[in-house]
Formats: sequence, structure tokens, C-alpha cells
Amino acid sequence: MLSARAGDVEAFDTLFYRHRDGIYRAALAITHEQTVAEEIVVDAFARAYRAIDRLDPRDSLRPWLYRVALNLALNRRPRARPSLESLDDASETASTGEEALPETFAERNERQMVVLAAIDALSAKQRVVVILHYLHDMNLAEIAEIVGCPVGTVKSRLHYALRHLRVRLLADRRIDIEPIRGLAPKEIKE
Amino acid sequence: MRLFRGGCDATRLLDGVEGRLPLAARLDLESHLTRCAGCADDLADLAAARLHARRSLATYRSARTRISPVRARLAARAESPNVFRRLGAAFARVGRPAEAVLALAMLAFAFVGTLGPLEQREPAVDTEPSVALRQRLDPDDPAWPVRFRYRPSPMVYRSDFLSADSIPPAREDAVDGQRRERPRPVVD
Repeated sequence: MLSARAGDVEAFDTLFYRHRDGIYRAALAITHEQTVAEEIVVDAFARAYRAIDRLDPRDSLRPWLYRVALNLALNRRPRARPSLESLDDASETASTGEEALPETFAERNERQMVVLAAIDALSAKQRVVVILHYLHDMNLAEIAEIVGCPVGTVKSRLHYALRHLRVRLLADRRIDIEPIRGLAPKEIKE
Repeated sequence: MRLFRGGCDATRLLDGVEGRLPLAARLDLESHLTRCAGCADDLADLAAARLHARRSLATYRSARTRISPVRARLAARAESPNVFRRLGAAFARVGRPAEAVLALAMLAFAFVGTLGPLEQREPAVDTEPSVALRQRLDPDDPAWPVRFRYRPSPMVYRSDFLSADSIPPAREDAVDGQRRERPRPVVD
């Protein structure tokens, strides 16, 4: 960060390669379009390149970048429904046995489509929290730093997002959702 | 098992689903779940929704891009911060542009109205003709002041009387009776 701030191009490139894919995934999960997600990545890093003099060198660039990219992604309306994966990727990911059956794959694909549509139907604040938590595996403190609110607010948003998600999934009769009983095992902290 | 709710902490359910509770709180929640059917159902629903969200979003985990950082640097240089562009963008965010234009116009009108009258410009009146004019005047011509029509006035500027008939005609009293131009005096 210090080197990039001093005008070191290689340091900026290192920051770019470090955060590129994460920002791309977040933008893709919101916009569902690869070209738009790539534009958002370029736009976010272009803004970082211009604003790097004004940023505090002691802070990490990651929250700032995610904040900018998420705002850019949310300001663009999705023009297409979520496209899940191509047939080439499907043949690679499908395992042998029951998973390889076309009907199983189609059912799984449809279920994913329904869930992603339900996530899209969430409010922007709840969607951001869900994506950062379940796609990027960020903890609540990291999400709070990105969205700029207390940890309790993030937890509340996540809680209500899961509730809304559950209601929407139950209302959709295309998939069967079985409730899961019991607590999850304790999270192992790295 | 209790079939109604009482003293339930909904936010603790999420921590229990995510596995963030310490051991004592976890045991406490488990004992609560055995007594509260509502919390047990909520927790089951939350866990199912969480599982589906995680699985569905996992399709994006393998997403990669090959964008070069050069693109970002070029974009940063191409889009230099432009004040007028930012003003335009800020103006575009206004919901009612027509009303905003009218309000800005009224503000500008009120601001200009507070200003005093502009000072009148000083006339550029010279008591002496300019060098270019003196070169055109013939000192031997007795009628040159009449032709020159030099009338100093606050509204007459040098550029105005330069266009007057200030160039004396050629003298007709030549020795050979032919009209010819007299040599003009050279003034340093």
C-alpha cells in the first residue's frame, strides 16, 4: 500500500492481483453478468488508482475496494437472470453416480436458480451481507467494516435475510426444503 | 416442550446456526431448544436457508477473471477527475431537473442583483494625435483641423476618429499641373 501510494506500479499490480477475483465474484453475484462484473473491477481499481493518495496507508485497501465495487454493482440493474454454469463446467463438476444423471443435474440447477432469485429479491443491504458472508466467507466484523455499520447491525441484517429467504423458498413450490434440526458444530477459528 | 414463546433471543439462534456460540451459551441454547418449539422451528428454518444460500452462491466461487491491471491504470488516466462532470452527475441525481434549473436561475438573479452598478469605462481620449495619425496629417495644409474634425468627447475613442476623413487629399498646386501624391512627413 505504501509503495503503491508512492507511485510504484508493480505494487499496485500486486494489490490488483490480490483482490481482483474476490471483487469480480462479488460483482458477478450481484449483476450476474461477466462483462459487467469485469467493468466493475476495472472501474473500482481505476478509482483506487486515482484515490490512493488520499487513503490512509495504514488501512487495508480491501474494505474500500469492496465498498466501491458493491456500490457500483448495486447501482447497475441486472439485465439478465442468473446464468449458472456452462455445459463444459457442468461436465467437470458433475461427479459419477447419481450426480451424473441429467435429471439430478437439472434439479440441482433449478434449485440454485430459485435460491439465487430469492437472494436477488432481498433488499440491497441484506443481499450484500449474504453475499459477503456466504460467498466470501467474511466474518461479521469484516462485513461491518465494509458496509460501515456496527457488527450487531450486520448480524441483524443476516438474520432477517435468512428469514426472508426461508419464506420465499417455502413459497416457491418448485423445490422441497427440509428443515435442519440441531445446532451447527462450533466454528474453528484460524 | 413449550408450545409458546417466552424469553427467546432470536439473534442467538443465528449464532447457534453459524457455530459462533461459546460452549456455555451453546449448552444454554440447546436446553432452551428442547423446551421451546418455536425457537426449534426457527433454528431449523434458518439452518436450511443458510445451507441453500451457501450452496447456491458456491457456483460463483470458481469464477475467475483475467483482467490486466493495465486496464485499470489506463481507465484511471483516461477518466481524470473533472469538476464539471461531477457537477453534472450531481445535477443528474436531482429528481426534478426543471425545478432545479429554475431555482438556480433565481439564485443567480438574486446574487447579481445584490451587486452594485459597474464602473463606467474611462474614455480613451488623447490630447495628442497618435503617431499613426500624425503621419497622415499634413502640417502645411491649413484646413487639416477641419478635415480632421477633432472633437474630444467622453464617448469618442481613438478608434472612432481614426476612421474619420483625416487623410488630406493630394495637392493640386503642382508645378507641372498634374495631380500627384505629396510625400508624407515622416515622424519619429
